[in-house]
Amino acid sequence: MRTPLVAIVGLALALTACGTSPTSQAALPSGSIVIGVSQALTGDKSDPGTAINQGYAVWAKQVNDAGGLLGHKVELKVYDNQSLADTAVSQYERLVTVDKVNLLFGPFSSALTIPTSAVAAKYKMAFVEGAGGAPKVFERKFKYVFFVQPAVAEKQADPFVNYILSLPAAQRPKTAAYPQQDDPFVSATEDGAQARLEAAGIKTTYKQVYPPTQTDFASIAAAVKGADIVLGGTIFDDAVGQVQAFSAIHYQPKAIYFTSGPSTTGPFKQALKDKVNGIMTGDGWVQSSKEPGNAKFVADYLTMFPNKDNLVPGEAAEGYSVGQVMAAAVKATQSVDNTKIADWLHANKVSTVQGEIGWDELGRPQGSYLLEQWQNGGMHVVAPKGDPNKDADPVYPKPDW
Amino acid sequence: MRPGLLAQSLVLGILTGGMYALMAAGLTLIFGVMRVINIAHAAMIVMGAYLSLTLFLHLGVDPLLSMLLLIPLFFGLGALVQWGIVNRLAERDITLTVLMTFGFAIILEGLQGAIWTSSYQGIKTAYSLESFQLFTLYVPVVRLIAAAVSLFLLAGLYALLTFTMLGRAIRATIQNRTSAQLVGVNVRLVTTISFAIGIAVAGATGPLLGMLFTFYPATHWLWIGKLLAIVVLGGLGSLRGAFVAAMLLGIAEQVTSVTIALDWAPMIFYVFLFGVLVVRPQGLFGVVERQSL
Repeated sequence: MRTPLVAIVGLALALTACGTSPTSQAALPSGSIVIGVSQALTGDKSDPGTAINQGYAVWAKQVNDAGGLLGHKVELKVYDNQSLADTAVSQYERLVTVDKVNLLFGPFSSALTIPTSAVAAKYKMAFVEGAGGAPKVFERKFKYVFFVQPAVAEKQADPFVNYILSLPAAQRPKTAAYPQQDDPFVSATEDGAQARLEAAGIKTTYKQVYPPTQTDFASIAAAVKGADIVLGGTIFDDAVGQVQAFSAIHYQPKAIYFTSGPSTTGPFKQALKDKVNGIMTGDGWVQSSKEPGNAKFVADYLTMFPNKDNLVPGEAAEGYSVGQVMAAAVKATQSVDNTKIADWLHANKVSTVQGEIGWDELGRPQGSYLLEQWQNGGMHVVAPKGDPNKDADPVYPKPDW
Repeated sequence: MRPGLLAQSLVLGILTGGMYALMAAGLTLIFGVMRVINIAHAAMIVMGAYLSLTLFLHLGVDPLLSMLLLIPLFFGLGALVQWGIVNRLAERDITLTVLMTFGFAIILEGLQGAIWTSSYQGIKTAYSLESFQLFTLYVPVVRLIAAAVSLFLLAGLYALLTFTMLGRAIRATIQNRTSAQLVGVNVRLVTTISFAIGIAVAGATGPLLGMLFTFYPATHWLWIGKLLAIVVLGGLGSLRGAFVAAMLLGIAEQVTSVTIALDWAPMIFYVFLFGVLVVRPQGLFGVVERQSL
């Protein structure tokens, strides 16, 4: 019911914006460098959204403790978009036109990045974001969006599919189920994986798309039951809901992969306790990563956001990497001129806690993901084989719930 | 389709339908007595879920126990709201009450957002994830408890309406307000009590909703649509009708989602609803009112 009001406000803001000529705020400020963020701090994406902002906060504190960026303190200007795309769009409009922030960081998830990246492009603001990797983010060919993960969404399940296909014929699953949320990131990941598994002869027994508002997974579980493996196309709450519903009917898949959810480590473990063990996901980062700067990031995160399991969510690392990328570009160009920043990012690679990342002309990263699995209450890298961060072997079939 | 899947979805449908019936019971009672469509009904149920969650997280009160606290609390609030606001509006113009309860729903939603934020919540007790096997079927314990508690409360409500003086007075008021007044029923008091009972039932449903489903402040919009459809299909003001319609919705949803597709589930019910209304505009158990010209 709020939507129409938000739409009207958004329209009003958009119309106001049409009156001014789109320019980026290029000059270095006299005070702090202000970075605008509209984040999913409440609503259905609040767990991963909050985790990304924690990453931004750790980065900002480290930068300020070390004397700031180009001698200026950095300050995050954050609005809560309640996981609503309309609200996120009007908040980015406000950040650029009213608050006149110097730089922008992205929101959580492709669903919110797709509409908001258009706002950034309109004002020629570099949109450095850690969680919008669906094809739709890039197909409009904006020059100002930069996705800070090792690879795009279509490739996220590749390490999992590679692993499944590497199993000896006797162990290889024969059937797979794909319960998935109606979401651009999820469908990109799931469709790619399903096509490859089907081509290898693994039959699809279930594929259904549910709305983001789905809260009852009992009938989905009843229909999925029986498949050898599950590729759940999830964001967070629905991953928790699926596990609870599967375990309630004593359904034990041999392997289960979620597109998103398991990497939001703290909240995921809190919700599912020891049922997390054996669950797999694809991510660009793991807490034990040996990348330069990671140990300090992990330590500072746990000081700022202590939790009893001492877990750092993957999204926090994505947020922190966004900060690292922006800082590198600002330092290299000695400015907050967003056109210069975008040009520099197109031409250079940046070292982050997720590894070194470089972008093509549309802002798509060029690397690949890691396959991660929950084992003994912690997250481990189990594939690909030669990766320096691999610290465990995959457990297959997964232990029973 | 795998054998047993249909039976499994039937079981889930019946258990879920039982809870839908309780959710709709208060709504249909309030309509029956006052002709007031309480748009805020689902928001009140969600409020019950939040209060139960808070009691569970901070004081360790089991959600089922928290019902004992919520029923009198919501009864009192219901009586206060009816006597203080709804009654005054209803006497002037009954249509105003729709606007009023609509506004009330928005206020409750805003209040919940301010206190608990709009994050998704659920009440997870130690037995949340338990289930037991019945032949080849799995019955989730929480769903069984929710259905059993719903049936118990519905039976209580039915007994109250059927066998007590108050119940007779309520039914008389539902049937014909003026005649009830003529035979000595204190219609005003009966109306206030009925409204309060309706709200108390909403409060009691809150913990069940919280245990079974994820909830957040705006969830009530999803629920009120379902509940109004149940009440209309069953016949406005009919408790029996609400029960039958709730079962139909519960079963239709679960069976459709496994046999056809997930997104067809709500549609099938509405198709059925329109079909029934074409043949029986008063709903399955509704009574055609004779009105003076």
